[in-house]
Amino acid sequence: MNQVLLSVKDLNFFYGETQILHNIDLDIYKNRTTALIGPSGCGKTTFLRCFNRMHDLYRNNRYEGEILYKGENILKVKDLIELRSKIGMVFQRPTPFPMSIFDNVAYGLKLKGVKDKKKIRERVEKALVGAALWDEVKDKLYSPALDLSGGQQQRMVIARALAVEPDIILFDEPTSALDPIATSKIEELLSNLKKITTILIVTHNMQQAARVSDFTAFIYKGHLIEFEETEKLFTNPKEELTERYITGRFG
Amino acid sequence: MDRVRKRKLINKIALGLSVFAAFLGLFWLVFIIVSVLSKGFSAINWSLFFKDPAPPGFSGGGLRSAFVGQGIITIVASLIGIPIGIMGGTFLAEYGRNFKFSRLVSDIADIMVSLPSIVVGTFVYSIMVRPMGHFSGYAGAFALAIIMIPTILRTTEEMLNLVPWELREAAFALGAPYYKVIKDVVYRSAAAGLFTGVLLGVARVATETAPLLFTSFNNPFFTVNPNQSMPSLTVTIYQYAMGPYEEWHRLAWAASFVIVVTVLLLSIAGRFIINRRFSKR
Repeated sequence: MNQVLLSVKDLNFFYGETQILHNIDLDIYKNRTTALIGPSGCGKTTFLRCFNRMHDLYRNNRYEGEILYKGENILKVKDLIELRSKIGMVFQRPTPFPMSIFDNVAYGLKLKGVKDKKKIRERVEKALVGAALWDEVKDKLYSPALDLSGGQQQRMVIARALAVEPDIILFDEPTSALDPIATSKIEELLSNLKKITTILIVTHNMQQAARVSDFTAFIYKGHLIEFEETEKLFTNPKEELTERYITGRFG
Repeated sequence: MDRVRKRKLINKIALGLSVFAAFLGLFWLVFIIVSVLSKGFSAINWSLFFKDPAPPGFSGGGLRSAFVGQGIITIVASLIGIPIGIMGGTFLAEYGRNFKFSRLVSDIADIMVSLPSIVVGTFVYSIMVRPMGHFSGYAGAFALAIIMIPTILRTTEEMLNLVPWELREAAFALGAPYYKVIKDVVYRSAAAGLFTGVLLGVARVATETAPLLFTSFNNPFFTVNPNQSMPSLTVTIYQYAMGPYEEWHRLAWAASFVIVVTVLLLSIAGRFIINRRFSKR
């Protein structure tokens, strides 16, 4: 049974005078993976960054509409720190902080004010196990995170997001800077992760969307064209635009 | 075929000229360093560091007072200049990065980096020495701080700008407030660069004479009180080198030697840290 975690209602997003997103309505289901696909510049990353209010870091941005999360509109939330500890994010390129692997993964917990050392250790281990990195780093937890390979760094960043036990993790093309082997590891990880959290992933790789997601949303020029179960969308799209995109006739 | 030969000839001429120019520049630099090192080294002995200047015309004596004075002035200048430089640079690169005002400050700092230091000296003379009625180590330190601030401010700004925005976003995305993002992620990433900027800023002011002439002036006696005129190595070199006594010249060379070696070491250390940081990435 699909349970709605987040509900996007009539979302519009403006950068200055330019409208980037138009009237988007979409439900994100709990413990499912939802993929956002579409050609470059269609607004899929912009859409993703609305969920943790990343756009607030920059000026001249404006949201309209609602993203409902536990009965509250994310776009009106005042406490962004609390919000962002519930909604994690993983970026295109790995973003290890210049500190040890342990401190990286524990960073979110420390921000939340967790002081208990034993509890931090447990959570760090759990997160690293969850991110399928524990076996590779358990003997060098206190060495610099920058010494890890790109793929390992990306899994560590996922562990860092997992450590605070978020309700959803936003992935912004998490494998586009990685080699094929590291990519397949991350994809395998993604399919396991939905047991413990919910995933919203932007990808420009349609095969990846088909492999990892349960639902797929096709966005084109800031409009949500089609939202369907992944299998249906890829085998039997309702919209002609979707069909043309997934068969590679444009984009 | 002819054109190829012509091009090769022009190439050789250009190469020859630029090598010549490089050696010409290098020659004087090496000349200065070698002469300071050779003339200064022979004048180095323990009493240089542990004895105060002897009365004019007498031999013996050292420059303890000048070393201590220089040290105090430089430390006080650093205490004023480093925090203001770092915090100002942080404002320009972080909190104030979207303000037009920040661009203006940054441009003015750029101009101030190349401001003749004697102008700073006369400025501090008019706002501190005149109202207080006497020369003081504080005034000297303040003048050096004014010279130090734009250097550190600009290096800080540039070093922080080198830290990718994605890294800050990643920290924000975990729910970090801005000051923690700066403290935990940005400063850490830029630590080597910030340290180098500070090192170079301090090295730059440690060699200044002009701003001290009108501010801390000089004092033939040993003092640790910055509220009175204070000796410094650079002003001492200036006065001793101009003086009539052979002994003074010897001490001036010795002091020059110490300054050159110190600044050389600071600069090499700075370069070394920068290189190591960027090769590691």
